[in-house]
Amino acid sequence: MNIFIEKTQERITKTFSGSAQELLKELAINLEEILIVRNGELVTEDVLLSDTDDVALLSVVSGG
Amino acid sequence: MKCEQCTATAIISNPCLCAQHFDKFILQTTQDTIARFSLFDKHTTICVAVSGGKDSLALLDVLTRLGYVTKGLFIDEGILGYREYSREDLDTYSGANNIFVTKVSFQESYGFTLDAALQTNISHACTLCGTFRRQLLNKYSRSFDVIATGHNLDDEAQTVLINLARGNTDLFFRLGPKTKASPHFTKRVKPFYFLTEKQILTYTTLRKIKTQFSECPYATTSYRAAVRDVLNKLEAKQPGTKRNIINTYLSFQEQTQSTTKTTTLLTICSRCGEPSQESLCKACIFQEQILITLAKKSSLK
Repeated sequence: MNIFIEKTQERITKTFSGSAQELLKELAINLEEILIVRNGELVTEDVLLSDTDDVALLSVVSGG
Repeated sequence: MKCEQCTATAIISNPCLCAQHFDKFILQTTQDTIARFSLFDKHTTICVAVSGGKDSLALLDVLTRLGYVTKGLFIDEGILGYREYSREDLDTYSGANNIFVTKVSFQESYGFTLDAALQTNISHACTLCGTFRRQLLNKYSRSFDVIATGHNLDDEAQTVLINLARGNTDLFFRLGPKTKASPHFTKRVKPFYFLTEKQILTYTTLRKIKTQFSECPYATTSYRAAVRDVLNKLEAKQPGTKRNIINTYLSFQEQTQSTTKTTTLLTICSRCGEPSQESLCKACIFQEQILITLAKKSSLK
């Protein structure tokens, strides 16, 4: 799975299968602070992710 | 997760809605806020304070879709590596949607950028920026009935807590979705008062409004950033925390409105003619200190 974390501009490739919420827990990212985009579509945290997915975690926090 | 209003797949869990119903939710919540607090109507001249970030571009977009006519006011503080990017996004959006935007800068107005001003160590970045920004917003929105800002529920819950924690009682009583109009100040309104930052980013993402992630380099160490992080942790632990803070504040404000007196008496700054609590306004005091310090630094080179 390819993961892009917008806030830190990190790109990670990792093996993962489970819900988006479980992925966030593993990455220690607060659901309140991101939007989950799977293969270009907004999804909710209960969505099951697979190894072939491209996941972007968009940062909600911005500005000053 | 299914949309709570139809059988489509939800794209957001709070509220649990599909793209179509979420779009309606944003428009309806904004319109309800405008109506509930009598922020403005279709005849009001509305100046939108725009930074080019997601909140202000979403506000321009939502107000236009609701049938309000707006103009933008952009303030360039002069923060290299930050403001020029949101300015690009603003130009893209306003150009594509024929929205007139007035642009003013700290450099043109005061003779220095915020980056330069901070080399003087006269005050904290947010204090200087806030003082100059507030003055310019008020000055350049004077010909409008209201100035609308993209402040959202997260911003407002943070502000309530910050003022409580700092003991700013005078300011604390003046928070909320609007300020009263006065001869010196343009009425300020916040149509996104009940929308979260996350809902607004969801809206701009769905509407394909281009805004890039950017955080003010000076804000990351601010007290507000610390309060924001704590509130996000509390919200994750107990959903509804931010909304409860806002609702409790509004209820408190309503109950105390008749007994609360504003203690701040205003005069006019003898130098710039803008409203002030003293004979010289804070912006003029800061401006003088910064210009003198910068001139001294320059002569030492």
